[in-house]
Amino acid sequence: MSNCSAVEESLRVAFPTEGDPHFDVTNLSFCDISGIRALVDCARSLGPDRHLRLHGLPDQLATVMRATGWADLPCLVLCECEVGST
Amino acid sequence: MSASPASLGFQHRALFYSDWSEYVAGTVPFIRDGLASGEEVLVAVPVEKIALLRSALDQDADRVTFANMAEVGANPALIIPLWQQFLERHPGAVRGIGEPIWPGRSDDELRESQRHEALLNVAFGNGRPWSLLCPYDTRRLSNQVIDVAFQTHEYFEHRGKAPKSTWYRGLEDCTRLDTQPFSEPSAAVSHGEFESGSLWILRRNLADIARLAGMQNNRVDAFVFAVNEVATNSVVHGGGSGRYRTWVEDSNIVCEIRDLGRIVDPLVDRTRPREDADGPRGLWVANQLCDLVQIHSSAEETVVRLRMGLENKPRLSILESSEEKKFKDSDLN
Repeated sequence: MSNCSAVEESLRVAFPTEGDPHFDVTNLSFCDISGIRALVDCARSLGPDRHLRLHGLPDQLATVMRATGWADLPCLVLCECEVGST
Repeated sequence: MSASPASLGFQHRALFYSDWSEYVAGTVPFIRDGLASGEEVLVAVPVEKIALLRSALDQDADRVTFANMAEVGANPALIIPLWQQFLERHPGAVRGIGEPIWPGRSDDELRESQRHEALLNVAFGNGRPWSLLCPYDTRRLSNQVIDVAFQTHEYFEHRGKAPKSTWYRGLEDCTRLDTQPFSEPSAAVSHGEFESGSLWILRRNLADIARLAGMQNNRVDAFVFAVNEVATNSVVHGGGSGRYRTWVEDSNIVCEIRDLGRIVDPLVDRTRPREDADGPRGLWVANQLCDLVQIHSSAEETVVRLRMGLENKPRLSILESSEEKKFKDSDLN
């Protein structure tokens, strides 16, 4: 809740300007809804035909994504493949 | 005889039965009338009733959608979203049978199921016309449960007619979140206070207690996430801080969050947020993750109790409901 703006800004800077960014959250120790929303906002800001691909999303975060409808956003992809195999 | 003409709006009816024959006599004509009128029919009842109705309906059963209420409605807060979704999928005439209360529900589940029955009137009372029939087992449920059913249903089924209930509370009373204070915990509690900078302590303490009690790790993570969201609501909307208590009770972990805010939207925990909306989602999410979430909110304070069983439970939620298989009988096994 307290640092999600900084996280969102850091991601925007870190993401490439073309293609689909891949983000591995396997080692994320904790993320609340504000943090998830930051990821969603980042995905929305990518522009047409680009997607934020999330890898290693913990079960409860994937559940939240589906419960809130964010999992259905076309700009966001919840990848179930092994991290690094893409 | 059980038509739901548009002029009647939402028809929320109780059906009181004392044996199988009364159950079938009350439900089967209701279903067949709907099918004869070309209506979509969803029957959400405990699984043993599905078998009974399938047998009684014979070939007509294939035109009815069934859902096991013991799973889709294990947490009663998930039932209204189920009906909302059914209505969204079928813009034409629909009707349903919903049996959220059966013997064997815990006291807390029963309380929430009764709240659910009241909130159905709020959720659908001013919307499109449709009929929902709610069976009650008068032989095995307590008099208190039957009395409350008369208060939460505007109509009741009686020999094919649907007279009004004299005891119906009315829409405004159905919105109340301050009717029943919670009972005190029956076990020793761990407690503390929190504010924005100390939510991590609450999360750590809760996770430690849950693991010590034997909860599986994936459930610990989900429960901690849900409690953190409700506590965040306290920080953001409930005066900036709050208090918590947590305890183990009947193979469940319970965590209570208390703050000085007040919840004004009675459907805040059971209306699916739009994905592009910025409003609070904490209570909605908590219901998706926990076995039970209870709210008591008055002018003085808001108390939210979240409950999670130590063991995994079979559970279907509406989360997967975009998949058509969700509502089919194959899921009931």
